[in-house]
Amino acid sequence: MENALHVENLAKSYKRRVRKPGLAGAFQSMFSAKTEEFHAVKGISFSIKRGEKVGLIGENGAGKSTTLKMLTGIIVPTGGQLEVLGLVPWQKRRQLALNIGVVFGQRPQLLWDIPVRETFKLLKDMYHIPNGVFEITYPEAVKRLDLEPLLSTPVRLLSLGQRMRCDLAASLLHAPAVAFLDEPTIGLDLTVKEQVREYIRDMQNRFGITLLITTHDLKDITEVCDRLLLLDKGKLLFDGSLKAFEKRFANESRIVAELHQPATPASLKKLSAEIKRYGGAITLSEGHRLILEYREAGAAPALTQILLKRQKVVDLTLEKTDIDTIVTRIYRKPAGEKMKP
Amino acid sequence: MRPLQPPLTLLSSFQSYASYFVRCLKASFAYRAATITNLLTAAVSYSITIMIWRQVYSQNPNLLISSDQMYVYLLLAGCVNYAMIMNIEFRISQRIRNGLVATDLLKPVDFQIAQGIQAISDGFFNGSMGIMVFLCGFFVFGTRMLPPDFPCFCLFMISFLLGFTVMYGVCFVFVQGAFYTYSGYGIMASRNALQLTFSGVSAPLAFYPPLLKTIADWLPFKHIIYSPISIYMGWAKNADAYQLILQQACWAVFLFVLGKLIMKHALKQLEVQGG
Amino acid sequence: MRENIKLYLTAFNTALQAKFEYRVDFFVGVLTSCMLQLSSLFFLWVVFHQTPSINGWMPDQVILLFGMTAAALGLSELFFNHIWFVPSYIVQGDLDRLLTYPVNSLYFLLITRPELHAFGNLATGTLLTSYALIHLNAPWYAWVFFPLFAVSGCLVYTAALVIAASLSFKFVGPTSINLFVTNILLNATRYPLSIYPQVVQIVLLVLVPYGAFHYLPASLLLGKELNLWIILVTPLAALFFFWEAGWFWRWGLNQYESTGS
Repeated sequence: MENALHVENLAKSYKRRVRKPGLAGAFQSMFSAKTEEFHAVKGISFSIKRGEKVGLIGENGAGKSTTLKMLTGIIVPTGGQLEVLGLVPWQKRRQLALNIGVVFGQRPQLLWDIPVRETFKLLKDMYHIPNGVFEITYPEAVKRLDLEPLLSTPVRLLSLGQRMRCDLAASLLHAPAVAFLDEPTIGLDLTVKEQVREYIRDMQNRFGITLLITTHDLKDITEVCDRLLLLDKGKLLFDGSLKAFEKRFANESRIVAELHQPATPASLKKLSAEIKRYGGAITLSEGHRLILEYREAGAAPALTQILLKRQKVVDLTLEKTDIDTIVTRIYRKPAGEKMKP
Repeated sequence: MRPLQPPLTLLSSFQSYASYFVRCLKASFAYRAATITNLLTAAVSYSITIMIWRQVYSQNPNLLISSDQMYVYLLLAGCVNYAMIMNIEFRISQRIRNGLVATDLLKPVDFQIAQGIQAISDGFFNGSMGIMVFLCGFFVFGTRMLPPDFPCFCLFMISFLLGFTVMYGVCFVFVQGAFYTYSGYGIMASRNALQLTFSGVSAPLAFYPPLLKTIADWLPFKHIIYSPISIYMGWAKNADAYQLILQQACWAVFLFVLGKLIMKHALKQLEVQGG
Repeated sequence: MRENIKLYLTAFNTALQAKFEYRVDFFVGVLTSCMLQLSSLFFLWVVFHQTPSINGWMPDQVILLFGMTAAALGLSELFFNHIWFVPSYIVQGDLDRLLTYPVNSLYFLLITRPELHAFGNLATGTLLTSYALIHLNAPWYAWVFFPLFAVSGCLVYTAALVIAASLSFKFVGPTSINLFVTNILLNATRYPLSIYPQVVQIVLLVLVPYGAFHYLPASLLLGKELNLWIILVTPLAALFFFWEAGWFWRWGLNQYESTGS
């Protein structure tokens, strides 16, 4: 089967009750029936092939988790069609469950009161993992994620980071065809994040697992994925490779300078004229702060030289147009502007 | 790439549930419920009920059921009631409210059956508590605590097990309310209220005023406590006993199907919190 | 002092608004409380089907007791329900936040989580009490005093819960002392205390004087036999009880802060 996932015009809406402020309003709203519709997902379409590594990003409330829940069959969509591994998730939930692995940020699937090792044993039976597979995935997980000291501890005594590592191992134990990872590195410290990313990459390499990762930490995407989906307020803004993303949304690069004393209007005029030749422009001059923006790649050294010559600079930062900054800037734009090519 | 796992056969499903059962047992050992205070609370409730009936008997010595039999009945009712405590009610409604139910739904097992297995494993523990109370009662009431003959006891065991299934069925149907309302207290407490009235735990149904008795006869609650114990005490013999058991079986099947249907609908309108 | 009261009112107001947000919870809760009260009434029905009176108490008279306990319970649940959450707060360490607020911890805690299904108990209680008072041809002053007694009963009930919660500061663990305490109080005091042995009566009238505020007034009203000394001792015991509860709470907090858990 070519497609791991196929989604067409997927939509999900909820009914929310209209509420008036104040105590009287609250009391009144209990007996009124006025509802408004809230559209969490507004008709998105995409396909993912077997073995692809896809990142799904968007601000909080953009509809990422809702989409993920529809894909795993927990929520029933209100519109559109979707298929995962040839099955309709909410109809064939149990059958699909055998072939997918899911990590939900802060909600582990581990059994609470008993040692971690017991959960793994149970999962082996529940997913009917063949010995050949289990004998690879289990030791791998234990080794790569440092699970050895945790195996005999009941889950409720583990810290958040420890729980998340166990949860991740549990979700990939059966080397599923598709893995849905919702915020897999949330709350982990930096070294552990690296460990986790490496583990995910290796498992993916070995077993050809199709990955769909939702995250706020963009490094998860740049280090693991090769394709990016950007959701904003329920709509799909972008679907393509990481490089294409950078190309499309990278506008200006910036040089941010901290001056020894606020620049005089005269000196600014002179500076402006000189950097124009290299396609640069002053976009901000407030007190000690000065920001230059430019479009051409490679103009940075020349512009920096001019700046240092013309002004007394105390500190200097070159802002890269990496995914982090791009996404931040996209989030900051008002809704209408975001759709511009 | 690993080949896709085909849908499970009946046998392999059974293996899944067996493994789940073992883990549930282990977890039940670890799950520290408030046993002591539960027991004390039950003891106090029992004492209060006894004192009320004692007053009644002191003024009206000649009732349908002798005072001796009454006290034994109430104690047995207490034991069975304790054995039937369904911890899963609280757990499921809590998991629905904090969203963890999503992880339950992602497992390749049937939710209703898996929770039933959990209930059975809890039942072992609650049941042993019930047996201990029974033994205490034996010290007090002696041989009056025993059933009239062995066949009676066998029928009682069947009825008790069926009663457990009916209890699970009732709880499962009620807990579906948590999918619609996210309330924890309301669901369990309303089931408890109905059960207090119609299961016969505070008084044998034979004592009920006719209207109340008719309603009780048409509800499943009496099959959780009153039916098994009437068989145990020899009040329901032979044909009556078989009829009760048949009714229990019918209710068990009906509630199982009803629970399944409601849950299907409940999932369609589910809004899982977070994200 | 005035500022504090204003603060409590605002906190209560806000909490109440938040609760109204969950309207299904509200309706389900009210329905459920009514069902629970009904189940006790049904039990009474069964008992009175077998006997004309319990220890000289006729059905309407027992209904009076029922109504008063329900009303007291309803009041406590509506205003002071938050105390139920203390054991879990202690276990999860959520009590720390409360201790950083510039308020008297106990009063602020009590009032900031009204439980809406209390309206069910309150309504049922009022209905039952009124029904009983009417059927018993109670004199006019009963209609003034009995609501007061309900309020007092509410305070005693809450005080008992505060003491139980304070104990959980020390005995952190899987014991639900509060459930145990309330169960006893609720179940036992619904029925005329005269059916219990002397020892129990003393406990319920003096040690935890919950019975003082419905059994005593009802007995007096209905002309039942009573020991004179009980009428004297019990109100004093109640006052002492409130003071005791506050003391327990402070003791509990000390335990909590000193172990730094």
